[in-house]
Amino acid sequence: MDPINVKDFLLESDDPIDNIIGTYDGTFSVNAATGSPNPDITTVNIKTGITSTCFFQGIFSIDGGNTWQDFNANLSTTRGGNIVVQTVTVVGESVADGSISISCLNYYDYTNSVGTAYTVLWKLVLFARPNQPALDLQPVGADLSFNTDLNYQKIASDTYQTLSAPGPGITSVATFPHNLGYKPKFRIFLDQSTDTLNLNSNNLYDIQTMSAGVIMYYAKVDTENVYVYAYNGYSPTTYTARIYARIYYDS
Amino acid sequence: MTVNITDFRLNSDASGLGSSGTSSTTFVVPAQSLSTYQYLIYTASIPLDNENSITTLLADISTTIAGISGTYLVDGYTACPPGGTTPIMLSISTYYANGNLNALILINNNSGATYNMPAITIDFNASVFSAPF
Repeated sequence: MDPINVKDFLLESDDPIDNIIGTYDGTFSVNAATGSPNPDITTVNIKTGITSTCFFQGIFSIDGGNTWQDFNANLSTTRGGNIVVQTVTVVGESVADGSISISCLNYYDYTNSVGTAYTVLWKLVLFARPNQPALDLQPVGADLSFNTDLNYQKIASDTYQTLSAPGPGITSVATFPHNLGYKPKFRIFLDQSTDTLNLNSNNLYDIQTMSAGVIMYYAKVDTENVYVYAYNGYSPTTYTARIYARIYYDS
Repeated sequence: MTVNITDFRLNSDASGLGSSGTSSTTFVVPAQSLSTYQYLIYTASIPLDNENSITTLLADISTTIAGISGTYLVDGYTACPPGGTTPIMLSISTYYANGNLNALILINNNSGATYNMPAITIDFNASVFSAPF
């Protein structure tokens, strides 16, 4: 198929919605975690026909498809030494060359002194970001994906801005006005111009895939604005990221 | 023009993420005294089925602890705020089990001393979105 412009999609209107541009699925077979390294990371790289970064969301299952978790769910939580509350998660990364990198993070369970092997199913949906360059549509798994029983969220604001995070010990904030008078739903994605652990420069991440202690990103909303915070805990380096905020009309 | 019904584009690539359900729950962390560096873990369950869908979770946190109150995006994990800028750090991560979205709430005493923590009320507002997997 010749490259197309996502703005030409038939469902584009005065109130745009998310434009899905491809779906993928697959399986990880991950060995039992040993604690060195912790987590044990297994990665697969998907070559798409898209030649730039895009937004994405994914789900995964560790019980054969009975229960599905969002990417970044089941995240290992450690405090008070080596306690690990949860042990396996999946994260995604939209690479600047247009490929998608999916990683399974399998943590050693120090609470019970056990490492567990998993067969992990995953599914991924790609959707267009602002100013998405022309692209080749990728295969979509289901034939019927527009269902009037569902509410397709209309996008109220779809912008990005640059956020610098100097440090150490400084919290920086990017403010995205929406002025809706209520607290809307929103999604945040970011790319960072400098590599940190778990963040490769110029690749696109959802906000929950945050670096391990160098820069921590988090977001909140009130009736007027969406706020995205970057906390630089200990690095003297100033890190700069492009923050994408997609704000919907739905509360 | 003769077309094949299966070629219609309205039902395919251009579709969005359709919201197929919402759920809300209020969870209260009781007031208590935390010893130095003591941590607490609670789990709040939000009735919501995640079969073949994607979740968005907002957590509206009400507390008198300066710097922590507000409505945060959870959707996997959030920390509010990190870095020891408040007496406690509160983080939330999520997982599905038994038809519930579970929010794992972790509170860490970062004050360096005993801290008399006031009650913290968290109103969770969750939505699921179907994707054409």
